Amino acid sequence: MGSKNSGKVQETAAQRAQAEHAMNQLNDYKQRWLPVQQKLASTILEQGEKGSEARRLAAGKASTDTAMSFDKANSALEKGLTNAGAAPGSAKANLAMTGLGADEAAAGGLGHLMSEQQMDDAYTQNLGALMSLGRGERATVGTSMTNMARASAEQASADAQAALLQRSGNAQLAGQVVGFGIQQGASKQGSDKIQAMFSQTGVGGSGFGTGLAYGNQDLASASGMVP
Amino acid sequence: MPTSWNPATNPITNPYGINRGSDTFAADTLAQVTRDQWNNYVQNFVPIENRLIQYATDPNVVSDAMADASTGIHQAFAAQQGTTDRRLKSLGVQLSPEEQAAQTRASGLQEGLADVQSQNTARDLTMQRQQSILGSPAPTGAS
Repeated sequence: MGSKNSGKVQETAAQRAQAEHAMNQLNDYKQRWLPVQQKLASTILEQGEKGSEARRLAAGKASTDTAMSFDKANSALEKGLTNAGAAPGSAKANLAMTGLGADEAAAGGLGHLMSEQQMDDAYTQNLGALMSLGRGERATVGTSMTNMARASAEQASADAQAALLQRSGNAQLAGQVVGFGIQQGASKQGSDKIQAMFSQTGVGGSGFGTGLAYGNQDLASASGMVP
Repeated sequence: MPTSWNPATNPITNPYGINRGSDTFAADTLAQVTRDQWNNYVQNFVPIENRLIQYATDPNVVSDAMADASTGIHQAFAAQQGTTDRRLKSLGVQLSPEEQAAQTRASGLQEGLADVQSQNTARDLTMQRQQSILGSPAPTGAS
């Protein structure tokens, strides 16, 4: 600060320029970037709401992925049963088909759960990203949404394959479903990672048909659902 | 304000109305900029932080996730029953009473297990997410 004879401290030209620069920067931000950030925030908050359009789309995709994967598994099972002489109408065939239906329901329900969880992941990560923006840090928003779409299809495929193998095994059709396994294997990239995630939570890597609640036998037993 | 706003052709005027000729222009402007920044933070970002804090600390978030997971399983099994019935019908198959009983028993058991599993998974993942927001990695309860 410069000084004059009066003893009053005078602002230098540099200080005045710096203050003006700060004012301009803030107003530039408020005019150009703040509206964009506000729009982003409202989108993220809207997507995170229970029953939001984004959640319904994610659940719909998970459901379709499951249905498509199990449709292939059903066709493979029916073919395998017929080739093995267990025609539709026989007890073996009937129970294998209804069992695969129950597997599909479990996979569909858990697929829906995971789509919700991944939406929650995306929601909280994006809120964290917005907080970073508020603190003036760099932020990455929206990457988790794309991961979710991929994971859903991979999980459905892995579930269908695991369920088919189990039902085929029960009906003693081992070897009849190899073609389906190879076909599904081609689209299975990355599902090991998903299975590992499920394994951590107790679903197990053996698919919903066989691996259900391995980590929770105590709870299931306590509730009287398993002997 | 459109994002195509160009400060070169449309320069910012003095929005705080501080006299540029004032001896305290720099001090007054910086003080106002600081207040403006704080107000902007409080108005635009504190509500977002509060949403995240609420998610991370509200125990209802966990119970709601568990309830939703359970509902999803029951809905899936209810819907699947119709699909399976239609599939069997399309093949001209009708289950015998014994087969029907076996299928009902197996499906009920599987639904119960899936229900427990889904609730445990929802609880673990939600609690892990809450704790990671709060800054502490959570132990994986069901591994």
